[in-house]
Amino acid sequence: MTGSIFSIKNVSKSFKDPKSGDSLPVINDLSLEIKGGDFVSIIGPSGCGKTTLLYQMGGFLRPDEGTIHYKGQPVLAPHPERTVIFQEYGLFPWKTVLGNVEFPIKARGALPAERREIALKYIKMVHLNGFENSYPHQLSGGMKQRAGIARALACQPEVVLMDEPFASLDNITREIMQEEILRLWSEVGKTFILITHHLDEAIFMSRRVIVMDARPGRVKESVEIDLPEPRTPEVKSHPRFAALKKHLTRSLREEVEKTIAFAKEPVPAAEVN
Amino acid sequence: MKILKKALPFFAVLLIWELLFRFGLLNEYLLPSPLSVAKAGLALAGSGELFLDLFASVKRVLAGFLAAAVFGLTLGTLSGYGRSLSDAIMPLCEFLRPIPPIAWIPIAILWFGLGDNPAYFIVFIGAFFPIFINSYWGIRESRLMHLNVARNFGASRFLVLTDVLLPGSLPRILHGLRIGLGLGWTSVISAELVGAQSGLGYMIQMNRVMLKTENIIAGMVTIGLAGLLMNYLMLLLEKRLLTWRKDTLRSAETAEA
Repeated sequence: MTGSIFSIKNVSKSFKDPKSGDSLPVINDLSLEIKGGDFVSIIGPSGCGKTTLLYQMGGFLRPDEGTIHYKGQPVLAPHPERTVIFQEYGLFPWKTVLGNVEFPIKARGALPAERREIALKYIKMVHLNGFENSYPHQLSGGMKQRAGIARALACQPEVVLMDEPFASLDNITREIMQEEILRLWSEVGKTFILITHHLDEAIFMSRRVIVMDARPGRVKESVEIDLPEPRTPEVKSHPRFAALKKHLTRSLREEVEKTIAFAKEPVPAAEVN
Repeated sequence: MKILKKALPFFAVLLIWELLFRFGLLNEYLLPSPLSVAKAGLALAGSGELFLDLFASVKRVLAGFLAAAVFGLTLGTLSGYGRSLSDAIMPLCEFLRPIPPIAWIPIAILWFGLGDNPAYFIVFIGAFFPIFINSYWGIRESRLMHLNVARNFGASRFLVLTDVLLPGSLPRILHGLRIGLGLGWTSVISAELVGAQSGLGYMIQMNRVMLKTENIIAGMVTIGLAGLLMNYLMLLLEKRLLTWRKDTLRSAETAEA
């Protein structure tokens, strides 16, 4: 397919169980195309390989089989164009907000004055101005996340890969951050890929939701979210939202039930296929 | 209030000591009263003798400690970063580490004679290992997530070292420096007991020969106070440099003294 920023073909990945030494398949024959500029969420039962897939797209892990192409080039290593926001944001606790946001700009060799100017721009963009000189431990969860996002954007990436970015936030902060990220997405016009297990979040934020099978993961279905944009909280009371949610809940539930069934079997991984 | 709480055990010990003396339970030649120790200390300080010895010891510990810090930090950081270097030198270090600094004194005197040089060497031996081991493990135990973040942004190896590995292991490095200074201080006193003609270790040894017990104890008190002060200064430095860690851990001050 043309116009894809990511082209993932027949990817498989397994990990060695450190105790038994058995190979545990996590992703099996997964294929997926992601269009540039889209907001895509990947949902699936826990252990379905969502995070593994994200790390492979980031270049932190290599598939055992199959290929991942980014803009037509095979993904072999991490690259600033594809920035991963890790689960706990990965802020450097010894750097201030400004120091953290400056880091990717410093890494590409910009001079201090330029570094500062760009960093301040992104700090402002995530509404963290006034907290430039605070250390991560002085920030609330939502503010830490804003700092993490500012740092990722300061890298001026083409793709932002987020691994359960809202996992440690309370509900209200979570909703605010969802809207914030949507605003940033429309402002910077880049591709955002989000790993989550929250259905509402996936539907509310995305243009497309990818449902993954239970382990070993594969794409079960890809659903276009044809809700009006820009998304506002009102969209959640849209009848189409309810219909999509009903459909996706059923789809996801089947997979979660499978995981529960697997867990009862003695050697779950070997039972698949 | 806090100072008072910290000073209380000192006063308690002095009080019990003085009472034991008053009740005639102490042999004056083995343990004179705190008052006569204080008098002896003041006399030694008044004549300037005590300070000459203190400065001689402090000079030795600082020189040996600085050398140990430079070597220990460099070697520890490099071997924490590069696997091949640590594979090469760790076994040797783990072999040398259990040999106590005092056990090096005979060979140090043989090599360097008497005076400052063997003392520098002994302090170096005492301070090097805690500094080296702590900077090595500080770098080694850096969080993978932080390294992945740096890799993602395309940071150079040098930037990873200066902005990620070193600041991340600074708490451990500073801890190693503080322990190293403490060990260096005990080592210099040991070295002076046998291999020097000045310094606090030499001073207490000489007073044993002359059976001036109150001078021995005054010297020991000086050693303790100087050690206390050095530890306090290092803790102060840790507190200044690790502001980013405040509130996330029990503060450096309460960690240990």
